[in-house]
Amino acid sequence: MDPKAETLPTDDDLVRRFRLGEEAAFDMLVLRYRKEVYRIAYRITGDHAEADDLAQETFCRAYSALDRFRGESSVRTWLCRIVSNLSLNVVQSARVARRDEVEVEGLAQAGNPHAVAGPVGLDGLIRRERHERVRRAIEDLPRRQKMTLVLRAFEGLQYKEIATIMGCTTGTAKANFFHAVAFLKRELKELL
Amino acid sequence: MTCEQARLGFADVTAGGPADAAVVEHLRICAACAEELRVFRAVLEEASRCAGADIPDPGEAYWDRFLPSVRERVALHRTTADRSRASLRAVAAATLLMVAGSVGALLLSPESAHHGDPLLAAGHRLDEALERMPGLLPEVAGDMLGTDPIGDVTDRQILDSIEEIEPPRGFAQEWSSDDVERMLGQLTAEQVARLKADLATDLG
Repeated sequence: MDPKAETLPTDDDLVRRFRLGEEAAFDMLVLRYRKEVYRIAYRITGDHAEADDLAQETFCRAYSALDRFRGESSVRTWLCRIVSNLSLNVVQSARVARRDEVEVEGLAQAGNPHAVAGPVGLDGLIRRERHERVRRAIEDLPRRQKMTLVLRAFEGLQYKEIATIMGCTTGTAKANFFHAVAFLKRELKELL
Repeated sequence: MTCEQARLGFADVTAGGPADAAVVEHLRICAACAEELRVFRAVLEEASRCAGADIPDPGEAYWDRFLPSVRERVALHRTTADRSRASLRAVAAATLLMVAGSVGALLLSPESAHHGDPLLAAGHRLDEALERMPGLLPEVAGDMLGTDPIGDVTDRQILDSIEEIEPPRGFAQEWSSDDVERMLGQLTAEQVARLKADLATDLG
């Protein structure tokens, strides 16, 4: 066993120490989970600036609420829950605006012969188009289905964890996952 | 087991863990569901390839700045939250003083000795105002939450989970008009106007 592993404080230890006034314990939680929190925000929003803001906001809210954290779930699950909810709220409210922007960008690029990005050539274009269609289909998923898909398929969380995050039963989480994939199947049938 | 039940079991089958034996058996004998599972897996693979691939790493410089940025935000949030809590306390205190003041004025009024009804009415107003005090903060908090410019958090889950209220920008302007009137509906228009003026002063 790695001797360093024994000295690493658990999340519960860190919460306890934070409650006793040790601010550095919170910093350790941030360092421990910042990448995962950022990743979830990025996967849901697809935008670095949004993900950055949401990840910071998640920890800011966690800091304010850590005193009252009841420990009914793990700290990790709790953070996933906060960032998922915040991200989905942002995506939902910005969805229309973002679509408009994408369309304007698309028009601008269509008229600009120098606007070539990413893989070059026909294969590259097809691949980009394919990725974009999948991304849009995922974006169009109903909120809870999208959250389930991201957490299960991309982040590898267990259904039990997802159920805790979403405040539902494991069976509901599984059903959401099933319906999310069924939705994608309908939307992407030409690609398959 | 029906085909529909079996297909709901795809969530387990594709999770890599132990799948329901009945689902496995159904897939063995039902070609349609087996084909459906193949497509289900293909969709998942496609989604993972396009949207689930590794996301771009923002880089070490970004991660180095992350914790200090969170710290700055926490400090800012603390200041704002302290300010809004102080304002709420000020409103509560001002309300009590004003309602109590109106009762006092009535008590001192010579008319009150002759007319019991106005005093009784004022007493009721005070009782009602006092009864409302414990519920005042959550009520306002709910409204504030609905206008939260950062997260627009209306989901009960997160509210229950983090139990933290984010005051909106422009807090004084948004909160000091209709909400105060609703909460303090027992006060006269003049008293409400005075309260708003006090609040504006308090909020700077």
